[in-house]
Amino acid sequence: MSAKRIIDCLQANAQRCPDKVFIYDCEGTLRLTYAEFWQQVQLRAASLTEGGWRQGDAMCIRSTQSASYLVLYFACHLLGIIIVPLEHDLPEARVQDVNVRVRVIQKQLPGHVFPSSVSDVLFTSGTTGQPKGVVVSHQAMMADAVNLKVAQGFHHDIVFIINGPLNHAGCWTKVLPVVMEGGSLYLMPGMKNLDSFFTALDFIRRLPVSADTHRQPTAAVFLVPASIRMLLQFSQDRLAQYADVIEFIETGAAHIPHSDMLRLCELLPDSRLFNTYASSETGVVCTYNFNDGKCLPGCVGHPMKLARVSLRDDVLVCRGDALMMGYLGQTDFSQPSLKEIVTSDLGRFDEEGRLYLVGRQNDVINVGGLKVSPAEVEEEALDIDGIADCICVADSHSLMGSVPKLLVVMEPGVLFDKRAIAAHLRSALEAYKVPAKYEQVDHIERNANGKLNRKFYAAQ
Amino acid sequence: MKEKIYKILEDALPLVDLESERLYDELDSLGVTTILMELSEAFGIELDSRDATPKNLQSLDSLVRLVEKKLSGK
Repeated sequence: MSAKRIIDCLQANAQRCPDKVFIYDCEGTLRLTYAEFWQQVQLRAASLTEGGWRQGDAMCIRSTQSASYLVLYFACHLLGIIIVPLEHDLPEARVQDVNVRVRVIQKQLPGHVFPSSVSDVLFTSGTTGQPKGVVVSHQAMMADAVNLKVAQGFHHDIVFIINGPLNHAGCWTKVLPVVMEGGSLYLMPGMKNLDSFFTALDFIRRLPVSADTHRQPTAAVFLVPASIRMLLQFSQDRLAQYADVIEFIETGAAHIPHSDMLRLCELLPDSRLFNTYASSETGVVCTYNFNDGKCLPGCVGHPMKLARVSLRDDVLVCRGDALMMGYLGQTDFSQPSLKEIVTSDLGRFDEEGRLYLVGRQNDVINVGGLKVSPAEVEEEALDIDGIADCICVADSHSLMGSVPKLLVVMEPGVLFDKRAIAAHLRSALEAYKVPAKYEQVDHIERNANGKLNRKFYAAQ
Repeated sequence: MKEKIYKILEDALPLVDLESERLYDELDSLGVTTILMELSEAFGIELDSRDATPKNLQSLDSLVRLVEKKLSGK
């Protein structure tokens, strides 16, 4: 494979398999072949050039699971414009904040442009308040594609169901090996309507045998553990009926209960079921097919082809071509990736070299695979008139694993109105970061230095 | 019944305008599942993904009809 960027693979497919459908959208009513999609990309690129966009600029885009988003994404890549994909419901003021942050960095670079090695800047929540921009190279994107293709068996006749946000690694990284192999994507708005997931599977089951390969198309999908829980709780009988068409399911981003793993193995005995370790910073690192007869809880398997993992005092250290170039504002653009990343994840290896995740070092709250920084929530909450003090803690949730909960101390005489607090936070934060629960308290525990005593609340 | 459902969901979904006539549009996947779970538990009924339709989740009144239908089917 001589392609150095995913856009090169896309262009090659427009020549190699022009009539192969790349995207199914709107329950299959919209179909775009690779040739048609490539044509749209070129037209969009032309309009961007007319609009004054140039190589090395950065564009902030709200990410949606739609053909139009993917056209814009690849049009930017065709022109060498760096993509900054954002949550679709991010408040406008926050979009502008990100825009400013990115442009400040761009103006500091030679020629006031990002280097051609840069592909995207992904924003991710960390321990401290503001989300950090993760700068990812084209090399890292290609490495992710190769890792997934080899480890999970992507091929030309896969139809990958995209049911989650394309600004998150879970779904976005799967677009890469699909393009690399000339497979197809089925786009759906989300898992709000579980019926539409089964509609997608019905649609894929009815697709004709491929004229190129004489194989029956099969389905694959990434599902966070919360979505798997939803399917098992409300539709497990239906799921079993699609065992013949589901080639593989990948999960990750959060802990999956062992009982759910076992149940999935029973319902889908011949499907590959992967538990994967990945992050915006490290790319895709390890994956484990837990439908192997052993179904090992907490296991994420062996490192993928272009990834290396070791432990340093039980902390995961990642190396390989899929690593980020650095955080925005701290990037060495002369290298396509960092040499190593010391993560916040704790792990152990078994005697066969399989990795297990055993916990995290930092305070990030994992809400069904989406990371929430408590400090970010607290900063916004303290901006609300009437709130004297607060702390954002993790509260257990049967579906999501954890959800944020805000403990609030009100100013004397001020009414505690949780709906008003929630509405204010929603105007500043993505929906998944807004606490689901609120409680008024007399005081917040702090340590001798005045810092929030998070350990106290974690022990509750 | 309507007031009972309102109270049950008010705590669980602080961001959602439960009095909206376009309730389904206000919900995300977690919101839909929360409604299914809370109503199943509160009324001892079985709800599954086929019940989570835009029509059934259109408003509090439609939720009342859904619960009454499930209760009468027991």
